[in-house]
Amino acid sequence: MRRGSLAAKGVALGLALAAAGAGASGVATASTGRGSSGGTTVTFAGLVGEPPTYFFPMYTSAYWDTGYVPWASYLMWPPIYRWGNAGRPVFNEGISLALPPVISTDAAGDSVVTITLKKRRWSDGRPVTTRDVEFWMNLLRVEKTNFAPYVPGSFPDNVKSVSYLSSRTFRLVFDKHYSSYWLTGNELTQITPIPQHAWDKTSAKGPVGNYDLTPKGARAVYNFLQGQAQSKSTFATNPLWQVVDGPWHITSYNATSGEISFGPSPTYPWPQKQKISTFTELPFTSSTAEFSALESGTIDVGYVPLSSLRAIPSLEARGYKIADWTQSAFGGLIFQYAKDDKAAPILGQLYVRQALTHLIDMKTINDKIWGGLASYASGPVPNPSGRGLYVSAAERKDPYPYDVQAARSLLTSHGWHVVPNGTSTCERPGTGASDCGAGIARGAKLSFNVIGTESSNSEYRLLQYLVSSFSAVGVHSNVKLVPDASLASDAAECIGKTTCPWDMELWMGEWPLGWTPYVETGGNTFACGAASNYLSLCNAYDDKLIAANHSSSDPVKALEQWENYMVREQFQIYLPIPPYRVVAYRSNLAGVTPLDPYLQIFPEDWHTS
Amino acid sequence: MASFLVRRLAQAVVVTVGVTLIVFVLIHLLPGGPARAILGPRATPAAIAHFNAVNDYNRSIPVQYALYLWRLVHGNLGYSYHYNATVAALLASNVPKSALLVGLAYALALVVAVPLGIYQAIRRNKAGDYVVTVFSFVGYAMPTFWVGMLLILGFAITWPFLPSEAPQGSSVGAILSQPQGLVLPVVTLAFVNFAMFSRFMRSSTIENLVQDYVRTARAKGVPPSRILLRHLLRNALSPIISMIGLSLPVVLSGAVVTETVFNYPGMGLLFWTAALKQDYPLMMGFTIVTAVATVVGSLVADLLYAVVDPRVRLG
Repeated sequence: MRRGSLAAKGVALGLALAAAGAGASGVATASTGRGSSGGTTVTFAGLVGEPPTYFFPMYTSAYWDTGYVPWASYLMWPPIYRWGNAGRPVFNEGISLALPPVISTDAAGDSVVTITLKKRRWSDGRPVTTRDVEFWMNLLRVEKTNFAPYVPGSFPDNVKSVSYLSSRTFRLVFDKHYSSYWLTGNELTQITPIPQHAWDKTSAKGPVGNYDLTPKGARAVYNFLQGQAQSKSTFATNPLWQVVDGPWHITSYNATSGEISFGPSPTYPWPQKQKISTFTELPFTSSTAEFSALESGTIDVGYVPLSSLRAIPSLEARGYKIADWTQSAFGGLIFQYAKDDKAAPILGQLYVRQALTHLIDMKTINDKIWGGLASYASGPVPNPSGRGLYVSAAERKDPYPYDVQAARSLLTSHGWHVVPNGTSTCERPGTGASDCGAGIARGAKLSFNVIGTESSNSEYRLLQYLVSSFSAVGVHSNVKLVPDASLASDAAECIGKTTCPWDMELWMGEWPLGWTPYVETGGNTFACGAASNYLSLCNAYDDKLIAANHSSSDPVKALEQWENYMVREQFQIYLPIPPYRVVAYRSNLAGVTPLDPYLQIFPEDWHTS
Repeated sequence: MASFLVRRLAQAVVVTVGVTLIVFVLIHLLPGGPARAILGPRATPAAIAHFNAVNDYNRSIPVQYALYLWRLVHGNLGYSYHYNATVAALLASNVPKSALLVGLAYALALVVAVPLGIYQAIRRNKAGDYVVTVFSFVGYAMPTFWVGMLLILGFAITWPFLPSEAPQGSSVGAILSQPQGLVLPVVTLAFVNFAMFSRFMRSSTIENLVQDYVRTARAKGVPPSRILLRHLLRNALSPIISMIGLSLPVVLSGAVVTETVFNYPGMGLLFWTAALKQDYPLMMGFTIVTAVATVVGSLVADLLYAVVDPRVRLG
């Protein structure tokens, strides 16, 4: 009786609290002392647990992330060439610091690139010149291995010579002929002018000189700047970081929480007169805390977690607009092709990969797991919101549509005894057209070790869906769940090895493009021996097409051929990519959309209406 | 007393070193390793190798541990590559913030729970006892994040009296300058702990109420209020003191759930992020703080026992 009474009281309290929640409405007025939307201050929800903690545009790998590169560094020191234009994954001449590169070929057949800087000024009034580019190049030459985007053999290793022709024009001669797409999207985008007249020093109190002109001096300057970049307590007060050529300069930084504010640079050619006076990135400890702040009206540009999409009508009633932030990325279920891996001969068969892809209903994944918000491309070239520029016709559609019977037929016609919800086995070993294929023995099982994560509820559900779908034709999955943080290391552990403990790994949205490389050519991810070739894929024809992507005089055609090949071969199963964020922004804030697929932000375009 | 303290301090050193050894080995057994977690999926093998060399992760675990202890005795707790700050600096900025949040919550919980526990014991099996019991059980049963979210929904969104976030100041002073921001996180944490303290206080008081010394006092005509405050309270507080002592590590190590819900970057969240990013130096720093706090809390509890109960002799 007592227990019943207790329970009744508990339920009553719960109902009362729930009723209070159901009646939620109206805009909160409480304040935590942060900048509000009053005046022209705009607040933006930063990354959970990862505020910028570093300041220097020649960033190391540890800071090669969204929170620092596009959301802090690019606001102050943008590279000469920018991508992302009106929400499309394309070159953006308008906001680039230089005119489009003039690319030619010299007598030796090598690419020659001539670049002319636009007339821009540093925030202290000095002009941006090729000496600032030279300063960057000199530091990069001596410390290239510390620069995150550096890939051995690529920029600046492939630059034979640099000539600084005038204060605004310089010329790069490369070591061979390269594709204009690859150069403009993945190589030249690394060049970032930095203020030589203010930063070319080796100590805080030392004079500015031309130290960068010798390797020893350049190294000393680099070390000094790196040291300054790690002094969080002086980010907002260090005079070095106040000299910018981007639209913003730092005005305050909370070294404990990571809250960072920017003010407009007076020398930047602002796109409109009505600019915001302060742009603040707010740190959050969790998406729950961020969403609570959004609901209580203390953020101007935030996001709705995928698990809270039902709150969108309520947010709209509170004066927010909603937009999907689709990303230029690809991901899916990657396969392992390590030379001596036991599953590699099976996964190496095109018909097996085709059968596996036929088992996946992309529409169901998009609708049931990603709320209908995901973007889909059947190959490695992203197609955010169906607006990808270099997406071939073959890649725009699902090449192997959901068809369990087709999957079953592919297996049975190649000598497999299919056992639905069991484990299918090879009955006809051999290399004939109706046999299992090379390296597959009689009795070999369609059984794979699969790695996924349960840190993300959506990805866990996706993994369950894949395992369930595969079982329809007797593909057995031995699932190992790992923390989200160790997915990358698990994937990478097999690079350069002949065997691997996993045969498949669910890898979602982990190949975002942007802040170099902007154009996916496969060079880092699918080329034999590439640093991020987690599949251990070594396919001669693939390598040939990738090489063409880097060097062809007809880059569109080369990219299309590679894409079509990758779509047909399905070396991995490409799955729908969810939006990076479902953004909620104040309805009186114009210019926030269209959102950039490379995850850059352009608060200089934002203004109150 | 002095020999007791010396003995306990010696034990404390052994325990702390033992804890660091165990945790050091365990975190190095975690799959993955810090290089990929920090540098990301696009890092080149050269970058990975460089990172491991700079941080000594390419050496054997015993050597790494010896190097860690060597730095530790020289006051160097290491460098957090994720936060780009020394571990000492991170602890110095976050421990006071967590201590403030959890300390205030515990103080509030105690202020409410002790008198209510006594009240329940005296009014045992009466209506008032039942009401408080229901309240306690609800508090016991509700997860912290749920309490926090309900309070945010009620008092920051539906009736926006209070902010949904804790103060964002970088110092205790700055946080205290926005007391309204502390209300919801402190109440959340206090509500959950109140339930525990009040139940212990009730049981302890009931146990003491039937002791001979209470009966004797009553027989001698001592007024009930004097019996309660002068005789019973000190004895009944013994288990609470033990709990307070053992709560010290929680005070210093933070409350990760409450900090997460209310956007309060304290120790709990620091450790959570360090674990996700496999930030070994920071995880070790957190471990040392927690181990020391556990040992000190236990010591403080023993000392307080002697204060409240003359029968306890230290030596």
